[in-house]
Amino acid sequence: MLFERSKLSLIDYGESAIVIELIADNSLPLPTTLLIQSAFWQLDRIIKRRMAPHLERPNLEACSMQDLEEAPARNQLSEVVLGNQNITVVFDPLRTDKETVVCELDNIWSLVQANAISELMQPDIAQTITHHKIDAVFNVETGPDLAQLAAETHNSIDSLIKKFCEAEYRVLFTGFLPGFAYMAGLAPELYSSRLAIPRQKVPAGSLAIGGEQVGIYPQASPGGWKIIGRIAQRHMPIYSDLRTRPSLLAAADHVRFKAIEDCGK
Amino acid sequence: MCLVSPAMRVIEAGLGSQLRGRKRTGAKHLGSPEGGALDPYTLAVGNLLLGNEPDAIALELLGGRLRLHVESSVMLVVTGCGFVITVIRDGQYLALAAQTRHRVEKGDELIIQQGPNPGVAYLCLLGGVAADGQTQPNTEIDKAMSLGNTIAQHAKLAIRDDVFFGAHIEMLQIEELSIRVTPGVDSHLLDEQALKSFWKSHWQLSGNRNRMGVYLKAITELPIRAEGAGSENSSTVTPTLTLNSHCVLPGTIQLPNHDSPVLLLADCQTTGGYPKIAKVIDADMWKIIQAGHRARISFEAVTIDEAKKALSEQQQMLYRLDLAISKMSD
Repeated sequence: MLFERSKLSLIDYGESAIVIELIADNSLPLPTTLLIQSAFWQLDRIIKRRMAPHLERPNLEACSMQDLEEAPARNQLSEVVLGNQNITVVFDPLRTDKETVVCELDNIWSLVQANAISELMQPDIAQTITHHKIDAVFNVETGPDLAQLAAETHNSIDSLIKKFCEAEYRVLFTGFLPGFAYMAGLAPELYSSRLAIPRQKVPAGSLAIGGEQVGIYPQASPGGWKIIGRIAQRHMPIYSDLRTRPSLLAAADHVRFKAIEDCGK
Repeated sequence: MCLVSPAMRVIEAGLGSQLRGRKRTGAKHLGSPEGGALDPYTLAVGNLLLGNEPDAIALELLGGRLRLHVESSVMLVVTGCGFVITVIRDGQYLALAAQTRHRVEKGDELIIQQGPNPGVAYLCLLGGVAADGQTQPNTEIDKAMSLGNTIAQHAKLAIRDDVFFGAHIEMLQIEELSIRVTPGVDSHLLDEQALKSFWKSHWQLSGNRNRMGVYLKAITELPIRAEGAGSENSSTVTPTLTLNSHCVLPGTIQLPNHDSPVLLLADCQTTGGYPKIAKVIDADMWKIIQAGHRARISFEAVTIDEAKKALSEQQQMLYRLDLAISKMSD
């Protein structure tokens, strides 16, 4: 088992944060794989539950003022941010003892390694994982990089869309913009580098390829990924503070795309 | 809740004026930036001088000229460096000091004008500032993140009505500035030469800035380059720059590819993939934000414990200010 021989690496990120990574027993970084990211999904969940339960209820609007005011006192961590094969925890250095945080993180990792928590957490994580079917329009108007990408990967536009929609994607983590999901699962032959010069404005809902990953722009923003289409209007907005689940896509979710003709209203 | 009454009407909005206060925590894992004031320390000084909560909402001004018509008399403090504050009363021009409590009267005109080297200014009103109509999020990004209400012309600022005495705090712009930083998580990815360049160079804040970040410009040219291939005498980052995406926090100094270092600020993205050279300690963030583009900045490495001690001292200073002000108003 890979994790039995891995160690937790904790690196100070200024006085108020610690970056958590996993390293192999020979102190080398572990390869970037979905299996390892799935360990981070679990770690992220357990850290939130044990050290920052207020983050498990992400809808700020739904918390009473009292909840928000009590939160910092009850919880050791103000933020737990999942990245790609890493987690950053943020705390108030004047109110939280760093050694206590480090100790608790080590404990959690021992439990994960001993499999005591992973079994406990599995059904819990499974419950919140969503399978999404997302409709998208792929044409030269919604996907300005579609033709160029097809040529680059020696595909016709139709075969590119077919290959893209055949794959199942997994959300690795969210970041960059509220609700921007980094997804793995792209067919290797469709990997494509980012634009040399990012666009000033990418429309909201744009579906794009960046390197080995797939993403959807939740709002109009600058962006350097290659845009191949746009998701249907019915999936919008991708992110809203007002929902119990603010982000349409969350870490560990499964995503499939279906080509349609019209984005709709 | 206290009653709010309209206190001021905006005649000219200035550059990037927004209402800013407490940062938002607990939504970073959803991709939402923390926002809040760019310089929470300078905001706290202004608010505490008025007896407000340290992170009460104030008008944050990035530059240009802010002109306000006073509709009802109010106590205020303007904090921040590099701005000129004037009140026009009955045709007379009165210069006001920053970091000092003042009372303006109905019919006055208040002008906060950037000088040649502006930092970031806060207009704090007794009881905190509330906006009254005419404010809209600046861009779609602001809207989605609900980070701050943009103050436009004709907007009205409202306040709580109360009276206190005057008080003043010194805040000076320093031309030669040493900023304390903790070495970055990814320092090991930069070769020794590049690191040396970073620590030995003098830097200035470039004009390329917004609430997400500001690029740093080397004064003494010691190139830091972020690509393996290149001319022999250039510094390089090894072995690769495609770092796995990770959380980034305000205060971080990142080294983007082909570019100069960038200091991340309050509205920065939540994750990034560029190497982090260093992180400005929390206690020194106000100095670099208020320094203006003219200051010569160098970076000094400190330990986590030293950073914590500096933060604790800064908090102590704010506690003492709070205590002194609450005694005065008893």
